[in-house]
Amino acid sequence: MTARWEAPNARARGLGTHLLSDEAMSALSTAPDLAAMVALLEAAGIVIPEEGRLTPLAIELGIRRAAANELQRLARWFGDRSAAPGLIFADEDRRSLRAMIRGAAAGASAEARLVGLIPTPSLPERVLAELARQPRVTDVAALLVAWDHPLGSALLSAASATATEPDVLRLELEVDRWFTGRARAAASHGGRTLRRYVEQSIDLDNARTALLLAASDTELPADDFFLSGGRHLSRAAFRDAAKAGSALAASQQLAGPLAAHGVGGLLLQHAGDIARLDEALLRARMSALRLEARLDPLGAAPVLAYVLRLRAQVVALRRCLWGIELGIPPARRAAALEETA
Amino acid sequence: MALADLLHTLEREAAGRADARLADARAEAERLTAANAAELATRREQALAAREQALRAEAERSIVTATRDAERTRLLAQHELLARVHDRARRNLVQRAGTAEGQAAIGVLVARALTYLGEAAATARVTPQPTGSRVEAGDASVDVDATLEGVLERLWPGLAMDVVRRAELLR
Repeated sequence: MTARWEAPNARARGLGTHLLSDEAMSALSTAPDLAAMVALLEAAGIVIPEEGRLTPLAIELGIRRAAANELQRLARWFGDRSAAPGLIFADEDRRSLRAMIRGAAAGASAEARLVGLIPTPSLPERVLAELARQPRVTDVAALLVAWDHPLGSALLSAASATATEPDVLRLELEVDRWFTGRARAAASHGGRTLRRYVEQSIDLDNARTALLLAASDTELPADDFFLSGGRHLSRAAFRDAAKAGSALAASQQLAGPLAAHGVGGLLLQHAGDIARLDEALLRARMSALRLEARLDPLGAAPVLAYVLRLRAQVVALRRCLWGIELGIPPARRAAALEETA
Repeated sequence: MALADLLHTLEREAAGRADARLADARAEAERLTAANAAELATRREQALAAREQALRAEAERSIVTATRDAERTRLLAQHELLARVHDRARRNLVQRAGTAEGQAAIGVLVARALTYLGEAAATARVTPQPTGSRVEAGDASVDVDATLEGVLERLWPGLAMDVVRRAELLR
């Protein structure tokens, strides 16, 4: 069944008006303290829990809950048989599971693992909180099995495969494979824009992995990490980039094939900083989708653009929160927001 | 006869006048008595009101003083509680800075600090401290205290309110 986008697109446009305006974001970026930030967020309809109200944890939780509510309101406007909400939620689950794996491997605190994650029906707030408390990656995987999450068994097998610490890169690959399978299934019925979006996601995931492999000294064969289903980055080009010897050399090899997605320059610019690259790619994809939404208002672009804008808002709010927490001067915080806008 | 009648008439008139004057005198005496009673009552009421007002003011002063004393005691207790919690939190941070969790948290702080340095991050100077690092941009445009203690100090006003709220819930 081909997805119909009229109703969710209309809802996405409506929900888009709930996103914070440039003026509100500017005020938040220069808020003198957490109390001022909470006041501004609540004036914009983002409710901060009473418990620990003026602490970063409570503010983070309020932001996460608000984003989850908005996504669920959007999802209700798809038909029961549409795979699109599953794709949107699976993308969030993928980010959450990666954070859980990395957090457990690094021994990060539960709070740090939850930063910026958006709960979904398959990984609701309480489950995320419980996952974040697990001391080891195998415990995270075991809990996912108990929760009957479709990725639980695969992750538990991968995490238990070695006697020593599990390989984080390999576990993340399992997460990406699971997401790619769901995304491709959803894309097959979602129309041209959704198909292109998924293909681009796979290409960018492969590029990201190639950069990490090129910068690491792993002995594992690069081919094992390649995800099928992309559009412009072939397995051979991926393999060559992964063996380039450094992230910068890899980015130079990847920039050509990925120029078709309009992100070749970003790869070169941020090759050494994956976090910055992720943010830059998010902004680039958001801009491209907003343009696509104007050209094809009945396709998937308005919904996808809204979802990326919501994610970008969570990232920006998190950045504001860190700035206050670290005592960064307001002018510097505002400048950092401008750079990422 | 005429004389006798005249005398009788005079006596009767004299008795009448005497009665009238006596009645007037009695009426005047009653009026004066009533006026005095009213005056007395007014004065008594005024005296009572003044006394009541003085007592009320004294009572209010006592209540204000007692309330202020109670509030001072409460604030002192609160201040001591917050000082103890702050001291304990600071000592915990110092103790746990060397653990895996502490090191991971410090790593996150430094990484976050670097995101604010933009291009200057490439030449940033990271100076280790007991519970984190100081991160200074290469062009000296910004200096970030990315230590766990620094974060505690900046977040303390909000955390203190939460500590007080929780303490009041436990009472």
